[in-house]
Amino acid sequence: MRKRLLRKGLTRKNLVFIIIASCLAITALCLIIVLTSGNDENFARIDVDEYYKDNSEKVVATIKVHEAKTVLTESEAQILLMNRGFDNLVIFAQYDLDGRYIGSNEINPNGTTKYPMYEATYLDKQNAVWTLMIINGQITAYPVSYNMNSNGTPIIVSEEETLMSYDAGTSKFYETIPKGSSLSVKVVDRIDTEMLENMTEEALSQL
Amino acid sequence: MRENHSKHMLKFICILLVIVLLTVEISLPCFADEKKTNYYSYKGPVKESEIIVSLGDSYSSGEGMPPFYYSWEEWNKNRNCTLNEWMDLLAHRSKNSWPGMLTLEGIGQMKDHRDENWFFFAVSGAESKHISKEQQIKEYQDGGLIESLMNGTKTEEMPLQIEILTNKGYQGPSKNTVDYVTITIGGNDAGFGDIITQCVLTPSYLCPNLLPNKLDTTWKGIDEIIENIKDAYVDIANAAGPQAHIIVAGYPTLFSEDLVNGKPWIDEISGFIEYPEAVVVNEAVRKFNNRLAETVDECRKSGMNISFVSVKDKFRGHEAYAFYEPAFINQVELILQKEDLKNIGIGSAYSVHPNAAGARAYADCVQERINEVEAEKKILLAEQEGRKDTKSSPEATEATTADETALEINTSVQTSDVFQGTEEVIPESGYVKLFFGNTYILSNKTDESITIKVPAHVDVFDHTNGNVNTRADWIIEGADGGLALYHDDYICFVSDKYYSIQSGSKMIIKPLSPYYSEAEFMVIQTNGVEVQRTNRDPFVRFFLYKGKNYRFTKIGVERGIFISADCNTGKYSGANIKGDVIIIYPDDSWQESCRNDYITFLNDAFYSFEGNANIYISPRSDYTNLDYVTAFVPNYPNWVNGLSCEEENSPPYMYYTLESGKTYTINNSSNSSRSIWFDWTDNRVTIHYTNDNGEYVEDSHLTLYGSRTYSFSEKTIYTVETDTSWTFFVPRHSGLKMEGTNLRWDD
Repeated sequence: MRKRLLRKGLTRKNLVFIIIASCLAITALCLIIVLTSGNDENFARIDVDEYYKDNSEKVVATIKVHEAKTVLTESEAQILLMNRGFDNLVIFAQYDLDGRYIGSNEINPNGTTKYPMYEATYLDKQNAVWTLMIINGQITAYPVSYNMNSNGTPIIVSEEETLMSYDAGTSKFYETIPKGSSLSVKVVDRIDTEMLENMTEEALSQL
Repeated sequence: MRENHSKHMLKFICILLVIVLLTVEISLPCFADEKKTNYYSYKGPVKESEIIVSLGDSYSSGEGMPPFYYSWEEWNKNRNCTLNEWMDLLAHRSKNSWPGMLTLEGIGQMKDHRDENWFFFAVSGAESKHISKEQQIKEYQDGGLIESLMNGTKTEEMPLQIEILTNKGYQGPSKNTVDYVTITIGGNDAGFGDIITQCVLTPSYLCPNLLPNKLDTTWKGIDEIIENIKDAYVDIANAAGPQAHIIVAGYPTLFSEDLVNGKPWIDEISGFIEYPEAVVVNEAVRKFNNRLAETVDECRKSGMNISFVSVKDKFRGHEAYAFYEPAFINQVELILQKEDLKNIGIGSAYSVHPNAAGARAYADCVQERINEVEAEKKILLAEQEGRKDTKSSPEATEATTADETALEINTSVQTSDVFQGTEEVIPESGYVKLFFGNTYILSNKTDESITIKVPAHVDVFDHTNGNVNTRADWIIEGADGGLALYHDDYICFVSDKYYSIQSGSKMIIKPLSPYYSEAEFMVIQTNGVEVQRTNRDPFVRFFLYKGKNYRFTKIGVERGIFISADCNTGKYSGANIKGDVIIIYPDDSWQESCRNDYITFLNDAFYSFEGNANIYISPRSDYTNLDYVTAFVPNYPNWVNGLSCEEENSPPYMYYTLESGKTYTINNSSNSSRSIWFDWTDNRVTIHYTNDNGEYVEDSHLTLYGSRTYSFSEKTIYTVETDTSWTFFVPRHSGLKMEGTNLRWDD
């Protein structure tokens, strides 16, 4: 037997080496388990191209953020909202132009930095909550209260049939027409305070 | 030489193996936990437990679950209160919080012994630093809307929570007398509030990966968060003393992932949060809980008297927006509630916090741990007292009461003794006596359905209707899946009848009948089911006060609510009359008695409601002198019913006052027929309406009499002409809208 082992090159020394190597391998494996169970793992992300394939009627265009012509500066976003009667709103940006998540950052109303997406919350006189979003220059109004009170597909108010979306991962804007089952777009001539104040839940449901 | 070398090598291998095993132990704590765990690590003298201190955040304070120990309503009466009351108000410490439901043997529920055996110092919004390092600043708006606008937001510094243990400024328990400290902390450090706000305010279609990006950013700082939490545990342990067992409760997953017909139910019902968001948020909670459990485990291994209690199993399937099971977590509430600390702004603090059923679930999880520790302590106590009898679990210490011949009716038998825990009841000759005032669990653990029987010769208890119990005193658990015959939550057991309990199901019985005041117990033929006596009350009682408004929240399956007979003092037998009970969104599947928007709730009766409906109740009957009515709903953590009740700040209906000579339009914008209630007696109005062909009918006047209910068909518009001023009211959420000049509505 010993002869056979020796013939195959498996001496006692080699055997000990194999045992040590196995132990080291198991230790390394355990260390990998420890490390990967830590906080390096990212939360699951949606494949955005797949998402819009599934949830939109049509992807009209995709635009690389750095090539987009209509991205607003902080002050331009502020003026856009003020011109529509939205005074004194706190406007936030959550991503920089390179797609880095920067948290909910209040913008400088006079600033010249460009952000791909701006958000502000508007409370109308009936205490209905709206989220105003400006993505690549396009403004939309998302009726939070209405959507909460009505079961089913959420609606969004827009000045165009196509919606501008943003994804930091691909660093692109997506211009799409959503499927009615995903997001119902209600088109109006102009989004401003007057329009939102008149947009009761009943009026919204009749749009 | 070679032998020596081999020995060294063997030693080296052994050391390596030890390292490997230790590494496995550290890296896979779930395996390590499979062995029997002793939670109580204190080695000093043991005494019987009598003091619990409850610290932490909103998940402990009972946020979103009024009534609180002190309310704005009380404050606004004379704007004068004690410091403790003021702190209770700002901390949102609920009278229904789960720590208050915890029990200690011989003491009962903690909420009945506040500031004696139970010290409740949890504060809504607290982070780990607010336990011992930094005072929490609570923002609030005092007074009404105008006052808030004028005065803006005020702030108040809350005391460090640990001060209740150190007796600095607050009278807490004496040093080294605390038996348990319960706590939930860390959720606010991890920013779960912001995460939920993000879900609500931003349409995910416009930025599908915003939420995971936000969570990743939070998670990058998780190590620091965990260190802060660990510091808080250490500070608590030092302040409470080594004898105090710290119980850290985890957080439940928040949003339902139920699929209905293959589609995510949350997409159907919520209108603002999408399924992928729900999944990501839940994943974040799970990861966070894992880190908490690991941290507690590390602390325990380092000698701290601490353990982690997971609530995830109890809440699984009961998340907010659940379909199949009752939700244990409040939905997102945008509108500020009466007891919110602000009255300007959006988003109620009540949102996404455990409701009454959730609090019960939390309490059950933590109580289980307390019972385990108590059992360990009793063994230690027995050892320390030199006793050899270590059978000291609560179950073993209780004597079995069924020592009489089952069918022998003996009025001298003990009835509803004070009882803690759960014990087996041994049937004699297939019969068992169920004593009034107790609760019994009948379990069918066999593979076949078993019928139990109420024998004919208990007719001595029989009511004139032939019912043994007529007052919701028998409750069946698992009525949907387990029981073939009964779909109601409450049934009346009739003598000489059989009742089925299917395989794997339980039946919970609490004999309470008021009709047999002289009776002591009842008898059933068990036919092989296992019977246990328990101290868990299968009912939750809600006291619904006159002038207040209440909403009973849905469940997903047909369920009932019971109105007690306590109010049988009025002119009418109804506890509520004149349209003061309103059911929202009734449809054709409703019971006949509930078709209208307004129903009269009778005493001693039971009402079902279905699907996603809520019941709104505003007790205000003029015909009873009682200050409140009582409603019963089942109280079991895994109960398929799970009705919860919240006080609402808006009455469920609106009064409309119309002036003489004017024309008004009533538009039914809902998808169902609706009713209005005219609250006067003699006056009449005429009404023009659109007939079934869609034609406007002018000459066919309908005279509406007062104190009547009239139905309005789906999508119909009526025009009303008045010859005198009159008032009627309609449900706030019914879809009935009034339009016209000089119209006003009033709460």
